Amino acid sequence: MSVLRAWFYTATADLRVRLRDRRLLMVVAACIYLGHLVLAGRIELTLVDRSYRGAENAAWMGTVLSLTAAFLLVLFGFYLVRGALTRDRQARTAPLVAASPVRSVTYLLGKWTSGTLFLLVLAGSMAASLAVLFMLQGNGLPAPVSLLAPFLLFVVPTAAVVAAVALAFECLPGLGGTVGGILYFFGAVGATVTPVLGSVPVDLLGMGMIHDSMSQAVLAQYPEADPGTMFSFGYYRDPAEQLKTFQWDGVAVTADLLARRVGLVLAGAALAAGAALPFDRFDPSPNWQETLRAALPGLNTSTPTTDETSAVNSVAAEPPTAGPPSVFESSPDSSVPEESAFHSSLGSFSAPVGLRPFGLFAAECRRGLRRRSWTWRLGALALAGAGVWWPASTGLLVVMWLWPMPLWSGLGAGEAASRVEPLVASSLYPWAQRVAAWAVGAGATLVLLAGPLLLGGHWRALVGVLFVPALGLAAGRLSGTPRLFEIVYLVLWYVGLANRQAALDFGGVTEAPGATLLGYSVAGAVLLAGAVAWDWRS
Amino acid sequence: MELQIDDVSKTYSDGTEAVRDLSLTVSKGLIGLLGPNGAGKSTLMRLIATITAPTAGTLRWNGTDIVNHPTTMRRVLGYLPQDFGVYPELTAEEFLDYMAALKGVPGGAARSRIDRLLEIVGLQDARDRSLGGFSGGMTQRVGIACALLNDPDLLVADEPTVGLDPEERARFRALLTDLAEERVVLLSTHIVSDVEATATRLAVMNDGRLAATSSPEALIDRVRGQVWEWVVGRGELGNVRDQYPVTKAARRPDGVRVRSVAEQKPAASATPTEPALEDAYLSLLSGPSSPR
Repeated sequence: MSVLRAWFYTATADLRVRLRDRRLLMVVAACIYLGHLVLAGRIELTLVDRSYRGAENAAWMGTVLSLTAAFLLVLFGFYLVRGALTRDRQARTAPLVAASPVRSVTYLLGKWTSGTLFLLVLAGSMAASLAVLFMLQGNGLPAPVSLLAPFLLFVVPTAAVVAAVALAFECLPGLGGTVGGILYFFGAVGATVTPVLGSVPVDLLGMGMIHDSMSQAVLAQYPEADPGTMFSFGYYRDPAEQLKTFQWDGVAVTADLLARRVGLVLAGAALAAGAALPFDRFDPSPNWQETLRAALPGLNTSTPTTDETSAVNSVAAEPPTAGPPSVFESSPDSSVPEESAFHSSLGSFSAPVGLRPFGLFAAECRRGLRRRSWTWRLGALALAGAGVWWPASTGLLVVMWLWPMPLWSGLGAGEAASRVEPLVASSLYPWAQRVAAWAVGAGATLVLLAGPLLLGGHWRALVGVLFVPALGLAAGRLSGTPRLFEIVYLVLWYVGLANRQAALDFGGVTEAPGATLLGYSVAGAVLLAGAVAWDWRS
Repeated sequence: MELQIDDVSKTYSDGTEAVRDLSLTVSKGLIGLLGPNGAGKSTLMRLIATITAPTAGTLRWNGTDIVNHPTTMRRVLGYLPQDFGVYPELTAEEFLDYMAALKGVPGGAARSRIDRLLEIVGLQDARDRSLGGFSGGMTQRVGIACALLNDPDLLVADEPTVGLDPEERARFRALLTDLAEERVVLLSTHIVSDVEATATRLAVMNDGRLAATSSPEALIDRVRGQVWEWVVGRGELGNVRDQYPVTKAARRPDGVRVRSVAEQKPAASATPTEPALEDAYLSLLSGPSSPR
């Protein structure tokens, strides 16, 4: 099989799957709306404490749009493209891929290409909406090169790196789930903020370059401007008034700039290819020696195809059966009994049917806990203990609201991941399973936060105990994956708790107003009721 | 015990018409639902199991509309889906106890029931093992035990023998036969031998529609006197396949011995033979049994 052909078909097949997901429409609609916000001036790039902005030319609009797109790709793109390998596992194509001659590096590069293109489709929909709206406002056709250049310079490398990081996280043991999502979030926040604060070796979004170029333009036209804290980029409900405008024709495309941006794309490709080292190639019982051997053909000492095939197709050996007679055991002459003794021995069943809430709760507790590693459980125990020791610490409370994320994110998505939906949905009390799942999430949160709640006076955190597991359950049921919850929750946590914004604080970190507490309580109740009552019969 | 399906259709959101205007009434006994892959069998099973709703028509269990009142069906239903999973972090016993709770089986009764079911399906020694380490066949047996937890009046088994070895398949068929004495067992399969000796009645689906419903004997009688066997040269097999539905072809030193269904004697050397269910089934799917 030609390497290029394998890469191409891996990429196109994966991209088709991504693009044919109907949920994509919502994301595209959001991107188009963001394009509108840029044009309307709500997403604003200003300089010197919102005093200066560029004249509305294609270079300026294209750069603001590209920065917005790149910024959003860094923060959320990871969660949108993550899961390419999980999807192959769930679709059961994984064994077919693993047993095929395609090299792991080729396969991962195909996945990376698809992820990158997918992110560019989203960013492109923003750009297209801006261009169309720009024309509809009677501004004529925007200069395509000026509009496109910042997109190519800043969005494409960002998408390439984000897609590669998402793929690498999926290949690295322990980072494929919620823990990886949390770590990435902190990394992404750092990557978007630090280039503006000072010189950094890797400027992913290109914000530092844009900042320097615009600063020079402002200072050239307004020498009195303070070159200190100049950059201001974000969403504003009311566009700034009485701004002085300066002429800016875009970042000068130098060889150095090009090398840096192309270098990022290549770094993304290298990271995706390098992910072949920890990639287990869908081996259900991976070991590092085999994984390295598969990734590095030079280390192979045995026939690779046979190894891969046997690894993929290996299944647990069935235990010897013994004891009472089974309909699945061999009879001495291996003949099929004409009449099975099954029914008479099983007996008819006349026990009354009724709900077993405690049985369900106990089973959900088992599931929730066993899905977590010992490290997570010990960490939770340590945090709960620390909460009793320092009950008033708001810093500790902020961390406590992050730790159970892996538990919450699986509350509604577990059924889809384990493919037990048909069994649950055809049972007598499918709704009770959802209530039990929420109760486990809320119960675990209560136990973790017992110290701050009971001893530290952080009673406002109770609304989070209701709201967050309900959000996890609803988002998981709606999307079938943990990712929707992770995106929404991390943003809420970062803004409301980590940045102490009382209006969004669900965790008792600040003196949140009554309206916030009421809002979260109502939202929690609605999400819980919706998740429990929603019958997925289509 | 009676399941009544009246003019049921199911069209998916992508426009696929999986079930078209299907009517069927089933009562106590083992009903084999035969049909090729893609015939709509699994969709019909899901409709009966109340996990999807029809776009038209009604389904009734003992006279109660189960589309509007799915609980009526779920209370008495044992469902073994074609494609299902288990929670890998739970043991077999824990998973069955969990499902018993969802099915409303009380704790004490559930425990004794699970004990016996694990014996029945030969998993008593693996009861404390995590399901994540189970093979496909073992998982299938867990599904079978799960379907029988609440002693269902209606057992719906969708391709239940997938993943079982030949001996397990034979024994599972015997188990279903036994169960069908006191309940409705609906067994969906595309493997004729799964229902040949066990079904009291057959329903054949093709392209979303019900192609036939009758007893196995009556279905076989349809092709009595039309099943032929003869030997053809190896190069002629393609032509024969083009003309007649070939139900078997076995290589021999002197050529290929073919078995086919045809109204008229297909070749001078053809001899009539005793029909089997597979002949009748393939003849039904391939249309009129005259030369094409």
